[in-house]
Amino acid sequence: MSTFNMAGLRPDQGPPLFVPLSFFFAATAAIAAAGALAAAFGGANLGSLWSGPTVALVHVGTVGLLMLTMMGALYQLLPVVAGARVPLPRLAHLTLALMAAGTGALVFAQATFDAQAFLVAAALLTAGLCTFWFPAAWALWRAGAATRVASGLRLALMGLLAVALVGLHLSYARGRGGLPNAWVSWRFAHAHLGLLGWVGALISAVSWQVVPMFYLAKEVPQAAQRAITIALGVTLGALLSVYAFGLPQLAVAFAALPGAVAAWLVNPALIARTIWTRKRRRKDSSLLFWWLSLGSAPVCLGLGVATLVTNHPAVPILYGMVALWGWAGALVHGMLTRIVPFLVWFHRCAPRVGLAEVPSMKDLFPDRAVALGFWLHAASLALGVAAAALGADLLWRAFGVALVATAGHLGARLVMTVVRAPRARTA
Amino acid sequence: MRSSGTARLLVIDLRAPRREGDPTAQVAAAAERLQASGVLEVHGVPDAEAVAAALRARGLSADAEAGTVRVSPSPLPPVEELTGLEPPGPAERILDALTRLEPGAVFLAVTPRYPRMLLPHLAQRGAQWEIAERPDGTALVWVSKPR
Repeated sequence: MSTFNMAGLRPDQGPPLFVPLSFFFAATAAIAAAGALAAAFGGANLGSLWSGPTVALVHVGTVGLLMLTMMGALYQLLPVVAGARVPLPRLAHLTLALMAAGTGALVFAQATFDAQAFLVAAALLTAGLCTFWFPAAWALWRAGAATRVASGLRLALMGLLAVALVGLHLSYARGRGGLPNAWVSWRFAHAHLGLLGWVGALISAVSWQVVPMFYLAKEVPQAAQRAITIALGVTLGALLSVYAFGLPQLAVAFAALPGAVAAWLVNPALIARTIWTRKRRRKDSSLLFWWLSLGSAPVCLGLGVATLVTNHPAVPILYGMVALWGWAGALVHGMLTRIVPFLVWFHRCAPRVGLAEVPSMKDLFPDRAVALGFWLHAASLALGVAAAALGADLLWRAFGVALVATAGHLGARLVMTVVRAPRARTA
Repeated sequence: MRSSGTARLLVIDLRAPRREGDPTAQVAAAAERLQASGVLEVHGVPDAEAVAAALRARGLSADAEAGTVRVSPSPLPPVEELTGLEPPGPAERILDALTRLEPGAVFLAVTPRYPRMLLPHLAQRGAQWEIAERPDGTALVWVSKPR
């Protein structure tokens, strides 16, 4: 006979509420900052992949929005998925401060080509990433959890390390002045390490956990999870090799292909199927974000291929827009509307259940507010895609304003979620 | 039937690995590990209804459903099915039930997955609890209020 008891688990595994929340609020501020920058820069500055403002805007999105959200989420996810708490949770304050300052310095450096600022950014981001990565990696590897989700998270942490090291190397090289011969290829390798090795691996692993959990959908088959993890791992290794040997852009494309197919075609198809076939089909506007993300994913693959076959300057801009704000950004926004009220409920309301009236999750973040947030996000994406395709100055500035509106709505709703919840008291 | 064990909750799958022998005897042997208010859930039981009847003849409380037998030295508490609730529904239901529970009584529920985030709240309320994963990935939750 075999037993499944899991006695001996420590009850207090999660971080304090302020740890993930602080990162989520900072990420929301990053969306607003991106919007303000886009509105200020306008089409004249954002029409080329090589312009400083474009690169700066991309990094507000990648480091400001995606990385900060994912760091905050990992502090909360690791105890739930792997049974391992990230040690020294109060270090998260320092991590956030360093990452925020480093992001600001990086964006300034990229927008103005200030060499000193690149070096300052590299130092701040190195420190911020170390204060996060080493405790998180220690927790995850020490836990030894053998689930596919845990494996995916380990791969994502390796991807984060890889894209961060490459990014820091690029920042340092930029700060030293001059552009090495392999600069173009390095940049594409860096971008795809981030998109696939870090974000793709994390989104895949998180989707296997949160879709069944929040939407009562079936799990993606274990064999598929394993295949996707392997494909992303192959891409991670291949991209690092391409970078190390300074191979040309076409080599980057071949290296990225397995991970791109896994993260932008296979996993979205499987997740879409589990959502579509779930038994309990209650109305939930956060699913609109999932559908937007899942629909954007194959478009990312198509646009990525298009960058190889055409020199049209709009294509790489479109690629970045759809990947960052369509695929990844929509998912992050949608999950914030579920995860924040969920965490607030557990920390603030659960101690009062049965003893006093407590608000439900829907009371904390109403579904109609989630829907409004979705339509703001969709509208800003539509404007961004139009701006990227047509290059019109007015469209870029309108995109910026729409981003600010999206961030403002999300930020206000997250604040109201916390304000509406009672202060926790022990039973 | 008196129980001499200390286990609050056991979940066993007779199929992994499959053992030869009388399933009634195997289940009864496992039930000896239970404390008085403990619950044993056994999956993969051939002819579960007959096994449950045989266990009742031995003085245990037992019921059977679709190849699964549930056993206890004391009267079996009803099992609340919470797998159809989205989070935090299962946690809310368990915590609410805990506040209404009489000292010494047991609340038993099936949740969609192992409810890790519930644990600090059970501990905070001084509850006794035990949670076991079932073969289908759901979790069986045993909660009691100390006398």
